[in-house]
Amino acid sequence: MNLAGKSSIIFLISLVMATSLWINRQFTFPYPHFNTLVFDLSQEFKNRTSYNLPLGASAGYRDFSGILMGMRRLTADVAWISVLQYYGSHDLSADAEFESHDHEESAQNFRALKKMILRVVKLDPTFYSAYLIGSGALAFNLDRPEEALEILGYGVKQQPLYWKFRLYIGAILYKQQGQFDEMIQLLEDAIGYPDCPAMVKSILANIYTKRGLYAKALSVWIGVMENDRSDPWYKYQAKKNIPLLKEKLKL
Amino acid sequence: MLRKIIDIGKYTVIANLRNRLFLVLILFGLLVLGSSALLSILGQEQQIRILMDLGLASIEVLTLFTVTFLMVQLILEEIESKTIYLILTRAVPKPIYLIGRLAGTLTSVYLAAIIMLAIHSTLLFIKGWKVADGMNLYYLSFFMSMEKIFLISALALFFSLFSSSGVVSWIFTFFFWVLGHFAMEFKYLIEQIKNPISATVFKAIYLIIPHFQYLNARDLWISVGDRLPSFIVQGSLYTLVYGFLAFSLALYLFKKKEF
Repeated sequence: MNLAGKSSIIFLISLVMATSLWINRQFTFPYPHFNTLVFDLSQEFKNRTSYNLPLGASAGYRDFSGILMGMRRLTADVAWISVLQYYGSHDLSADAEFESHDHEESAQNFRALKKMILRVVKLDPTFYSAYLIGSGALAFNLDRPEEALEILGYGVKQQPLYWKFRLYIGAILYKQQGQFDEMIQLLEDAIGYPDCPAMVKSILANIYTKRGLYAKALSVWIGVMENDRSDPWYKYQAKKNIPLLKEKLKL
Repeated sequence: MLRKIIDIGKYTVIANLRNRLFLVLILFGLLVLGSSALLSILGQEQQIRILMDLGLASIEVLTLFTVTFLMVQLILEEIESKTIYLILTRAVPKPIYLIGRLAGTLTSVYLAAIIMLAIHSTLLFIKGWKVADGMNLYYLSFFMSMEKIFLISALALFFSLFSSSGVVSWIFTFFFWVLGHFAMEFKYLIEQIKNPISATVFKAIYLIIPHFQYLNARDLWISVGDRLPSFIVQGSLYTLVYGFLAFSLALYLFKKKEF
Protein backbone atom coordinates (compact mmCIF):
# COMPACT_ATOMS: atom_id res chain seq x y z
CA MET A 1 0.00 0.00 0.00
CA ASN A 2 1.36 3.44 -0.84
CA LEU A 3 1.72 6.16 1.77
CA ALA A 4 -1.44 7.98 0.71
CA GLY A 5 -3.45 4.77 0.93
CA LYS A 6 -2.06 3.95 4.38
CA SER A 7 -2.75 7.49 5.59
CA SER A 8 -6.33 7.32 4.27
CA ILE A 9 -7.00 4.05 6.10
CA ILE A 10 -5.45 5.40 9.32
CA PHE A 11 -7.52 8.55 8.95
CA LEU A 12 -10.71 6.52 8.44
CA ILE A 13 -9.98 4.31 11.45
CA SER A 14 -9.37 7.43 13.57
CA LEU A 15 -12.59 8.93 12.26
CA VAL A 16 -14.52 5.78 13.20
CA MET A 17 -12.99 5.84 16.69
CA ALA A 18 -13.72 9.55 17.15
CA THR A 19 -17.33 9.11 15.95
CA SER A 20 -17.78 6.12 18.22
CA LEU A 21 -16.34 8.04 21.17
CA TRP A 22 -18.58 11.04 20.49
CA ILE A 23 -21.75 8.92 20.23
CA ASN A 24 -20.73 6.79 23.18
CA ARG A 25 -20.51 9.84 25.45
CA GLN A 26 -24.12 10.74 24.71
CA PHE A 27 -25.50 7.23 24.45
CA THR A 28 -27.34 5.84 27.46
CA PHE A 29 -27.79 2.11 27.43
CA PRO A 30 -31.15 1.71 29.16
CA TYR A 31 -30.87 -1.93 30.17
CA PRO A 32 -29.39 -3.64 33.21
CA HIS A 33 -26.19 -5.54 32.39
CA PHE A 34 -26.15 -9.22 31.49
CA ASN A 35 -24.79 -10.33 34.88
CA THR A 36 -28.00 -9.19 36.60
CA LEU A 37 -30.19 -11.56 34.59
CA VAL A 38 -32.02 -14.33 36.41
CA PHE A 39 -29.69 -17.25 35.74
CA ASP A 40 -30.84 -19.74 38.36
CA LEU A 41 -34.50 -20.14 37.39
CA SER A 42 -34.06 -23.76 36.36
CA GLN A 43 -33.54 -24.59 40.07
CA GLU A 44 -37.20 -23.79 40.66
CA PHE A 45 -38.24 -26.53 38.28
CA LYS A 46 -35.69 -29.20 39.06
CA ASN A 47 -38.38 -31.60 40.32
CA ARG A 48 -40.41 -31.34 37.17
CA THR A 49 -40.27 -33.71 34.26
CA SER A 50 -39.05 -32.32 30.94
CA TYR A 51 -42.51 -32.35 29.33
CA ASN A 52 -43.90 -30.34 32.22
CA LEU A 53 -41.40 -27.48 32.14
CA PRO A 54 -42.63 -24.01 31.20
CA LEU A 55 -41.25 -22.62 27.96
CA GLY A 56 -37.71 -21.31 28.49
CA ALA A 57 -37.43 -22.61 32.05
CA SER A 58 -33.65 -22.66 31.68
CA ALA A 59 -33.86 -18.84 31.70
CA GLY A 60 -30.58 -16.93 32.01
CA TYR A 61 -28.39 -19.03 29.76
CA ARG A 62 -30.97 -18.97 27.00
CA ASP A 63 -31.71 -15.29 27.64
CA PHE A 64 -28.03 -14.52 27.24
CA SER A 65 -28.11 -15.73 23.63
CA GLY A 66 -30.97 -13.30 23.01
CA ILE A 67 -28.80 -10.46 24.32
CA LEU A 68 -25.95 -11.54 22.05
CA MET A 69 -28.23 -11.18 19.05
CA GLY A 70 -29.49 -7.78 20.23
CA MET A 71 -32.96 -9.13 20.93
CA ARG A 72 -33.72 -8.25 24.53
CA ARG A 73 -37.32 -7.31 23.86
CA LEU A 74 -38.08 -10.50 22.00
CA THR A 75 -36.33 -12.56 24.70
CA ALA A 76 -38.45 -10.76 27.31
CA ASP A 77 -41.54 -11.64 25.26
CA VAL A 78 -40.60 -15.33 25.29
CA ALA A 79 -39.95 -15.09 29.04
CA TRP A 80 -43.38 -13.46 29.43
CA ILE A 81 -45.06 -16.28 27.51
CA SER A 82 -43.39 -18.66 29.96
CA VAL A 83 -44.89 -16.68 32.88
CA LEU A 84 -48.32 -16.95 31.29
CA GLN A 85 -47.77 -20.61 30.67
CA TYR A 86 -46.73 -21.12 34.30
CA TYR A 87 -49.33 -19.01 36.02
CA GLY A 88 -51.90 -18.86 33.26
CA SER A 89 -53.95 -15.75 32.88
CA HIS A 90 -56.21 -17.15 35.55
CA ASP A 91 -57.44 -15.01 38.31
CA LEU A 92 -57.74 -17.74 40.93
CA SER A 93 -60.33 -15.98 43.00
CA ALA A 94 -62.46 -15.41 39.92
CA ASP A 95 -63.11 -19.01 39.16
CA ALA A 96 -64.01 -21.51 41.83
CA GLU A 97 -63.87 -24.31 39.29
CA PHE A 98 -60.25 -23.53 38.60
CA GLU A 99 -59.44 -23.38 42.29
CA SER A 100 -60.84 -26.85 42.83
CA HIS A 101 -58.73 -28.29 40.03
CA ASP A 102 -55.95 -30.59 41.03
CA HIS A 103 -53.46 -28.15 39.63
CA GLU A 104 -49.85 -29.04 40.23
CA GLU A 105 -48.77 -25.54 41.15
CA SER A 106 -51.79 -24.45 43.19
CA ALA A 107 -50.45 -26.31 46.22
CA GLN A 108 -47.08 -24.64 45.87
CA ASN A 109 -48.77 -21.30 45.32
CA PHE A 110 -46.74 -20.52 42.19
CA ARG A 111 -43.53 -20.32 44.16
CA ALA A 112 -41.40 -19.26 41.18
CA LEU A 113 -43.71 -16.50 40.01
CA LYS A 114 -41.76 -13.55 41.45
CA LYS A 115 -38.50 -14.82 40.02
CA MET A 116 -40.10 -15.42 36.64
CA ILE A 117 -41.50 -11.89 36.53
CA LEU A 118 -38.16 -10.43 37.61
CA ARG A 119 -36.57 -12.40 34.79
CA VAL A 120 -38.88 -10.65 32.31
CA VAL A 121 -38.40 -7.13 33.66
CA LYS A 122 -34.64 -7.53 33.98
CA LEU A 123 -34.55 -8.37 30.30
CA ASP A 124 -36.80 -5.45 29.42
CA PRO A 125 -37.37 -2.92 32.22
CA THR A 126 -39.93 -1.12 30.03
CA PHE A 127 -42.25 -4.14 29.93
CA TYR A 128 -44.85 -2.36 32.07
CA SER A 129 -47.58 -4.97 31.76
CA ALA A 130 -45.27 -7.58 33.25
CA TYR A 131 -44.85 -5.47 36.41
CA LEU A 132 -48.55 -4.65 36.67
CA ILE A 133 -49.96 -8.10 35.97
CA GLY A 134 -47.24 -9.81 38.00
CA SER A 135 -47.57 -7.61 41.06
CA GLY A 136 -51.38 -7.74 40.81
CA ALA A 137 -51.32 -11.53 40.76
CA LEU A 138 -48.89 -11.73 43.67
CA ALA A 139 -50.58 -9.15 45.86
CA PHE A 140 -54.27 -9.77 45.24
CA ASN A 141 -54.54 -13.37 44.03
CA LEU A 142 -51.72 -15.11 45.86
CA ASP A 143 -51.64 -12.83 48.90
CA ARG A 144 -47.90 -12.20 48.72
CA PRO A 145 -47.78 -8.40 48.81
CA GLU A 146 -44.09 -8.28 49.86
CA GLU A 147 -43.07 -10.00 46.65
CA ALA A 148 -45.35 -7.72 44.63
CA LEU A 149 -43.78 -4.66 46.26
CA GLU A 150 -40.33 -6.01 45.44
CA ILE A 151 -41.23 -6.20 41.76
CA LEU A 152 -42.78 -2.73 41.77
CA GLY A 153 -39.80 -1.37 43.70
CA TYR A 154 -37.53 -2.66 40.95
CA GLY A 155 -39.82 -0.97 38.44
CA VAL A 156 -39.64 2.38 40.25
CA LYS A 157 -35.84 2.11 40.31
CA GLN A 158 -35.60 1.28 36.62
CA GLN A 159 -38.38 3.50 35.31
CA PRO A 160 -38.89 6.30 37.83
CA LEU A 161 -41.09 8.31 35.45
CA TYR A 162 -43.70 5.59 35.04
CA TRP A 163 -46.01 6.78 37.80
CA LYS A 164 -48.53 3.92 37.60
CA PHE A 165 -46.14 1.79 39.64
CA ARG A 166 -46.77 4.14 42.56
CA LEU A 167 -50.51 3.75 42.12
CA TYR A 168 -50.17 -0.01 42.45
CA ILE A 169 -47.76 0.30 45.36
CA GLY A 170 -50.32 2.48 47.12
CA ALA A 171 -53.11 -0.05 46.53
CA ILE A 172 -50.96 -2.91 47.83
CA LEU A 173 -49.88 -0.96 50.92
CA TYR A 174 -53.51 -0.13 51.70
CA LYS A 175 -54.35 -3.82 51.35
CA GLN A 176 -51.55 -4.74 53.75
CA GLN A 177 -52.84 -2.24 56.28
CA GLY A 178 -56.43 -3.39 55.87
CA GLN A 179 -57.51 -0.02 54.45
CA PHE A 180 -59.72 -1.55 51.79
CA ASP A 181 -61.71 1.57 50.89
CA GLU A 182 -58.53 3.43 50.02
CA MET A 183 -57.25 0.38 48.14
CA ILE A 184 -60.45 0.25 46.08
CA GLN A 185 -60.11 3.95 45.32
CA LEU A 186 -56.64 3.40 43.86
CA LEU A 187 -57.72 0.33 41.89
CA GLU A 188 -60.60 2.39 40.46
CA ASP A 189 -58.03 4.95 39.31
CA ALA A 190 -55.91 2.17 37.82
CA ILE A 191 -58.68 0.61 35.74
CA GLY A 192 -59.44 3.98 34.18
CA TYR A 193 -56.32 3.73 32.01
CA PRO A 194 -56.49 1.95 28.66
CA ASP A 195 -53.37 -0.12 29.34
CA CYS A 196 -54.76 -1.51 32.61
CA PRO A 197 -54.55 -5.32 32.45
CA ALA A 198 -57.87 -7.20 32.47
CA MET A 199 -56.60 -9.11 35.51
CA VAL A 200 -56.60 -5.96 37.66
CA LYS A 201 -60.10 -5.16 36.43
CA SER A 202 -61.28 -8.64 37.39
CA ILE A 203 -59.70 -8.24 40.85
CA LEU A 204 -61.67 -5.04 41.41
CA ALA A 205 -64.87 -6.59 40.04
CA ASN A 206 -64.52 -9.50 42.47
CA ILE A 207 -63.92 -7.15 45.41
CA TYR A 208 -67.07 -5.23 44.44
CA THR A 209 -69.03 -8.48 44.24
CA LYS A 210 -67.79 -9.60 47.67
CA ARG A 211 -68.83 -6.24 49.10
CA GLY A 212 -72.26 -6.45 47.48
CA LEU A 213 -71.56 -3.58 45.06
CA TYR A 214 -73.11 -5.46 42.17
CA ALA A 215 -73.77 -2.46 39.90
CA LYS A 216 -70.12 -1.42 40.05
CA ALA A 217 -68.96 -5.00 39.48
CA LEU A 218 -71.28 -5.27 36.49
CA SER A 219 -69.90 -2.09 34.95
CA VAL A 220 -66.31 -3.37 35.32
CA TRP A 221 -67.14 -6.73 33.71
CA ILE A 222 -68.94 -4.96 30.84
CA GLY A 223 -65.77 -2.90 30.34
CA VAL A 224 -63.71 -6.10 30.17
CA MET A 225 -66.18 -7.60 27.70
CA GLU A 226 -66.19 -4.56 25.42
CA ASN A 227 -62.41 -4.16 25.30
CA ASP A 228 -61.01 -5.81 22.13
CA ARG A 229 -57.65 -6.35 23.80
CA SER A 230 -58.98 -8.18 26.86
CA ASP A 231 -57.63 -11.65 27.37
CA PRO A 232 -60.15 -14.32 26.23
CA TRP A 233 -60.04 -15.86 29.71
CA TYR A 234 -61.34 -12.64 31.30
CA LYS A 235 -63.87 -12.22 28.53
CA TYR A 236 -65.09 -15.67 29.45
CA GLN A 237 -65.24 -14.62 33.12
CA ALA A 238 -67.13 -11.48 32.14
CA LYS A 239 -69.57 -13.49 30.05
CA LYS A 240 -70.19 -15.75 33.04
CA ASN A 241 -70.49 -12.99 35.64
CA ILE A 242 -72.59 -10.45 33.74
CA PRO A 243 -75.85 -12.51 33.75
CA LEU A 244 -75.33 -13.46 37.41
CA LEU A 245 -74.88 -9.83 38.41
CA LYS A 246 -77.82 -8.74 36.25
CA GLU A 247 -79.92 -11.35 38.00
CA LYS A 248 -78.86 -10.02 41.40
CA LEU A 249 -79.65 -6.49 40.28
CA LYS A 250 -82.95 -7.71 38.79
CA LEU A 251 -82.11 -6.14 35.40
CA MET B 1 -19.58 6.39 -14.22
CA LEU B 2 -23.07 6.38 -12.67
CA ARG B 3 -24.36 4.55 -15.74
CA LYS B 4 -21.81 1.78 -15.15
CA ILE B 5 -22.74 1.50 -11.46
CA ILE B 6 -26.43 1.23 -12.39
CA ASP B 7 -25.72 -1.40 -15.03
CA ILE B 8 -23.65 -3.55 -12.65
CA GLY B 9 -26.29 -3.04 -9.96
CA LYS B 10 -29.08 -4.15 -12.33
CA TYR B 11 -27.10 -7.21 -13.34
CA THR B 12 -26.57 -8.07 -9.64
CA VAL B 13 -30.27 -7.65 -8.79
CA ILE B 14 -31.29 -9.92 -11.67
CA ALA B 15 -28.67 -12.51 -10.71
CA ASN B 16 -29.87 -12.44 -7.09
CA LEU B 17 -33.51 -12.82 -8.07
CA ARG B 18 -32.53 -15.90 -10.07
CA ASN B 19 -30.67 -17.29 -7.08
CA ARG B 20 -32.70 -20.15 -5.64
CA LEU B 21 -31.37 -19.81 -2.14
CA PHE B 22 -32.30 -16.13 -2.10
CA LEU B 23 -35.85 -17.01 -3.08
CA VAL B 24 -36.01 -19.83 -0.53
CA LEU B 25 -34.90 -17.42 2.21
CA ILE B 26 -37.60 -14.92 1.21
CA LEU B 27 -40.20 -17.68 1.21
CA PHE B 28 -38.97 -18.82 4.59
CA GLY B 29 -39.28 -15.21 5.82
CA LEU B 30 -42.88 -15.07 4.73
CA LEU B 31 -43.59 -18.35 6.51
CA VAL B 32 -41.92 -17.10 9.70
CA LEU B 33 -43.98 -13.90 9.57
CA GLY B 34 -47.14 -15.90 9.09
CA SER B 35 -46.36 -18.20 11.98
CA SER B 36 -45.48 -15.21 14.20
CA ALA B 37 -49.16 -14.26 14.01
CA LEU B 38 -50.00 -17.64 15.53
CA LEU B 39 -47.25 -17.47 18.15
CA SER B 40 -48.30 -14.00 19.27
CA ILE B 41 -51.66 -15.43 20.40
CA LEU B 42 -49.76 -16.97 23.33
CA GLY B 43 -48.99 -13.44 24.52
CA GLN B 44 -52.69 -12.84 25.30
CA GLU B 45 -53.03 -9.11 26.05
CA GLN B 46 -49.52 -8.53 24.69
CA GLN B 47 -50.31 -9.91 21.24
CA ILE B 48 -49.44 -6.72 19.37
CA ARG B 49 -46.14 -6.30 21.21
CA ILE B 50 -45.10 -9.91 20.62
CA LEU B 51 -46.17 -9.86 16.98
CA MET B 52 -44.28 -6.62 16.46
CA ASP B 53 -41.07 -7.78 18.17
CA LEU B 54 -41.12 -11.17 16.54
CA GLY B 55 -41.81 -9.73 13.11
CA LEU B 56 -39.13 -7.04 13.31
CA ALA B 57 -36.56 -9.52 14.62
CA SER B 58 -37.47 -12.07 11.92
CA ILE B 59 -37.17 -9.47 9.17
CA GLU B 60 -33.78 -8.38 10.50
CA VAL B 61 -32.38 -11.88 10.97
CA LEU B 62 -33.61 -13.13 7.60
CA THR B 63 -32.25 -10.04 5.89
CA LEU B 64 -28.96 -10.59 7.73
CA PHE B 65 -28.73 -14.20 6.57
CA THR B 66 -29.65 -13.27 3.02
CA VAL B 67 -27.24 -10.36 2.77
CA THR B 68 -24.29 -12.16 4.37
CA PHE B 69 -24.88 -15.19 2.18
CA LEU B 70 -25.01 -13.06 -0.95
CA MET B 71 -22.11 -10.83 0.07
CA VAL B 72 -19.64 -13.55 0.90
CA GLN B 73 -20.42 -15.25 -2.42
CA LEU B 74 -20.49 -12.05 -4.42
CA ILE B 75 -16.88 -11.76 -5.48
CA LEU B 76 -15.59 -15.21 -4.53
CA GLU B 77 -17.96 -16.96 -6.91
CA GLU B 78 -17.08 -14.63 -9.78
CA ILE B 79 -13.38 -15.17 -9.20
CA GLU B 80 -13.86 -18.93 -9.15
CA SER B 81 -16.00 -18.97 -12.28
CA LYS B 82 -13.68 -16.39 -13.88
CA THR B 83 -16.64 -14.26 -15.02
CA ILE B 84 -15.05 -11.31 -13.27
CA TYR B 85 -12.49 -11.08 -16.11
CA LEU B 86 -15.25 -10.31 -18.59
CA ILE B 87 -16.30 -7.26 -16.61
CA LEU B 88 -12.95 -5.93 -15.47
CA THR B 89 -11.43 -6.20 -18.93
CA ARG B 90 -14.18 -3.95 -20.32
CA ALA B 91 -12.74 -0.80 -18.84
CA VAL B 92 -14.79 -1.03 -15.65
CA PRO B 93 -12.68 0.38 -12.82
CA LYS B 94 -12.48 -1.86 -9.75
CA PRO B 95 -14.12 0.69 -7.38
CA ILE B 96 -17.07 1.09 -9.79
CA TYR B 97 -17.45 -2.65 -10.04
CA LEU B 98 -17.43 -3.06 -6.25
CA ILE B 99 -19.87 -0.18 -5.64
CA GLY B 100 -22.20 -1.54 -8.32
CA ARG B 101 -22.16 -5.04 -6.86
CA LEU B 102 -22.73 -3.77 -3.31
CA ALA B 103 -25.55 -1.47 -4.43
CA GLY B 104 -27.17 -4.23 -6.45
CA THR B 105 -27.05 -6.73 -3.60
CA LEU B 106 -28.40 -4.20 -1.12
CA THR B 107 -31.20 -3.25 -3.52
CA SER B 108 -32.36 -6.85 -3.88
CA VAL B 109 -32.14 -7.47 -0.13
CA TYR B 110 -33.97 -4.23 0.68
CA LEU B 111 -36.69 -5.12 -1.82
CA ALA B 112 -37.20 -8.43 -0.04
CA ALA B 113 -37.21 -6.68 3.35
CA ILE B 114 -39.81 -4.15 2.18
CA ILE B 115 -42.06 -6.99 0.97
CA MET B 116 -41.71 -8.66 4.40
CA LEU B 117 -42.42 -5.33 6.13
CA ALA B 118 -45.58 -4.82 4.06
CA ILE B 119 -46.84 -8.29 4.98
CA HIS B 120 -45.95 -7.81 8.62
CA SER B 121 -47.65 -4.39 8.79
CA THR B 122 -50.76 -5.94 7.25
CA LEU B 123 -50.75 -8.66 9.91
CA LEU B 124 -50.44 -6.01 12.60
CA PHE B 125 -53.32 -3.98 11.18
CA ILE B 126 -55.46 -7.12 11.05
CA LYS B 127 -54.70 -7.66 14.76
CA GLY B 128 -55.91 -4.15 15.57
CA TRP B 129 -52.64 -2.23 15.60
CA LYS B 130 -53.08 1.47 16.42
CA VAL B 131 -50.86 4.57 16.21
CA ALA B 132 -50.60 4.54 20.01
CA ASP B 133 -48.92 1.13 19.82
CA GLY B 134 -45.67 2.71 18.62
CA MET B 135 -46.26 2.95 14.88
CA ASN B 136 -43.53 5.56 14.42
CA LEU B 137 -41.05 3.46 16.42
CA TYR B 138 -41.95 0.43 14.34
CA TYR B 139 -41.03 2.08 11.06
CA LEU B 140 -37.98 3.72 12.63
CA SER B 141 -36.85 0.30 13.86
CA PHE B 142 -37.14 -1.08 10.36
CA PHE B 143 -35.18 1.84 8.93
CA MET B 144 -32.42 1.44 11.53
CA SER B 145 -32.34 -2.33 10.96
CA MET B 146 -31.67 -1.63 7.31
CA GLU B 147 -28.80 0.64 8.33
CA LYS B 148 -27.40 -2.29 10.31
CA ILE B 149 -27.74 -4.42 7.19
CA PHE B 150 -25.83 -1.81 5.18
CA LEU B 151 -23.05 -1.82 7.75
CA ILE B 152 -22.81 -5.61 8.00
CA SER B 153 -22.86 -5.87 4.18
CA ALA B 154 -19.80 -3.66 3.91
CA LEU B 155 -18.10 -5.77 6.58
CA ALA B 156 -19.13 -9.01 4.85
CA LEU B 157 -17.69 -7.71 1.61
CA PHE B 158 -14.42 -6.91 3.36
CA PHE B 159 -14.26 -10.35 5.01
CA SER B 160 -15.07 -12.10 1.73
CA LEU B 161 -12.04 -10.46 0.16
CA PHE B 162 -9.94 -10.89 3.27
CA SER B 163 -10.42 -14.66 3.44
CA SER B 164 -10.53 -17.01 0.51
CA SER B 165 -13.33 -19.15 1.93
CA GLY B 166 -17.01 -18.25 1.99
CA VAL B 167 -17.56 -20.13 5.24
CA VAL B 168 -14.72 -18.34 7.03
CA SER B 169 -15.93 -14.93 5.89
CA TRP B 170 -19.47 -15.81 6.96
CA ILE B 171 -18.18 -16.82 10.42
CA PHE B 172 -16.21 -13.55 10.71
CA THR B 173 -19.25 -11.53 9.67
CA PHE B 174 -21.54 -13.29 12.11
CA PHE B 175 -18.97 -12.89 14.89
CA PHE B 176 -18.88 -9.14 14.27
CA TRP B 177 -22.67 -9.02 14.25
CA VAL B 178 -22.77 -10.61 17.71
CA LEU B 179 -19.84 -8.53 18.97
CA GLY B 180 -21.53 -5.36 17.75
CA HIS B 181 -24.66 -6.16 19.72
CA PHE B 182 -22.65 -7.12 22.77
CA ALA B 183 -20.58 -3.91 22.65
CA MET B 184 -22.38 -2.25 25.58
CA GLU B 185 -21.83 -5.30 27.77
CA PHE B 186 -18.22 -5.36 26.56
CA LYS B 187 -17.87 -1.78 27.78
CA TYR B 188 -19.25 -2.85 31.15
CA LEU B 189 -16.67 -5.66 31.32
CA ILE B 190 -13.88 -3.19 30.46
CA GLU B 191 -15.00 -1.00 33.36
CA GLN B 192 -14.32 -3.93 35.68
CA ILE B 193 -10.69 -4.27 34.53
CA LYS B 194 -8.26 -3.05 37.20
CA ASN B 195 -5.05 -3.03 35.10
CA PRO B 196 -4.84 0.39 33.34
CA ILE B 197 -2.84 -0.92 30.35
CA SER B 198 -5.29 -3.74 29.65
CA ALA B 199 -8.18 -1.34 30.14
CA THR B 200 -6.73 1.12 27.58
CA VAL B 201 -6.13 -1.64 25.03
CA PHE B 202 -9.67 -2.96 25.43
CA LYS B 203 -11.11 0.56 25.28
CA ALA B 204 -9.40 1.04 21.90
CA ILE B 205 -10.85 -2.29 20.74
CA TYR B 206 -14.23 -1.17 22.06
CA LEU B 207 -14.08 1.98 19.93
CA ILE B 208 -13.13 0.13 16.78
CA ILE B 209 -15.69 -2.68 16.87
CA PRO B 210 -19.01 -1.98 15.13
CA HIS B 211 -21.67 -0.76 17.56
CA PHE B 212 -24.96 -2.14 16.44
CA GLN B 213 -26.63 -0.93 19.61
CA TYR B 214 -26.37 2.63 18.23
CA LEU B 215 -28.81 1.44 15.59
CA ASN B 216 -30.86 -1.01 17.60
CA ALA B 217 -34.14 0.95 17.79
CA ARG B 218 -35.96 -2.39 17.54
CA ASP B 219 -34.61 -3.32 20.95
CA LEU B 220 -34.17 0.06 22.66
CA TRP B 221 -37.73 0.97 21.67
CA ILE B 222 -39.41 3.55 23.94
CA SER B 223 -36.15 4.41 25.67
CA VAL B 224 -35.11 6.31 22.50
CA GLY B 225 -38.50 7.99 22.22
CA ASP B 226 -37.36 11.20 23.93
CA ARG B 227 -34.19 11.55 21.81
CA LEU B 228 -35.31 10.35 18.41
CA PRO B 229 -33.67 13.03 16.20
CA SER B 230 -30.23 12.66 17.80
CA PHE B 231 -30.57 8.84 17.79
CA ILE B 232 -31.32 8.81 14.06
CA VAL B 233 -28.62 11.36 13.16
CA GLN B 234 -25.91 9.71 15.28
CA GLY B 235 -26.82 6.21 14.10
CA SER B 236 -26.89 7.20 10.45
CA LEU B 237 -23.61 9.11 10.73
CA TYR B 238 -21.99 6.12 12.40
CA THR B 239 -23.28 3.79 9.67
CA LEU B 240 -21.89 6.05 6.97
CA VAL B 241 -18.47 6.45 8.56
CA TYR B 242 -18.07 2.79 9.53
CA GLY B 243 -19.53 1.56 6.25
CA PHE B 244 -17.12 3.77 4.33
CA LEU B 245 -14.18 2.40 6.32
CA ALA B 246 -15.23 -1.23 5.70
CA PHE B 247 -15.81 -0.51 2.01
CA SER B 248 -12.42 1.24 1.69
CA LEU B 249 -10.69 -1.74 3.27
CA ALA B 250 -12.57 -4.08 0.92
CA LEU B 251 -11.60 -1.92 -2.03
CA TYR B 252 -7.97 -1.94 -0.95
CA LEU B 253 -7.97 -5.76 -0.82
CA PHE B 254 -9.81 -5.96 -4.12
CA LYS B 255 -7.29 -3.67 -5.81
CA LYS B 256 -4.48 -5.85 -4.52
CA LYS B 257 -6.00 -8.97 -6.05
CA GLU B 258 -4.51 -9.98 -9.36
CA PHE B 259 -6.81 -11.27 -12.05
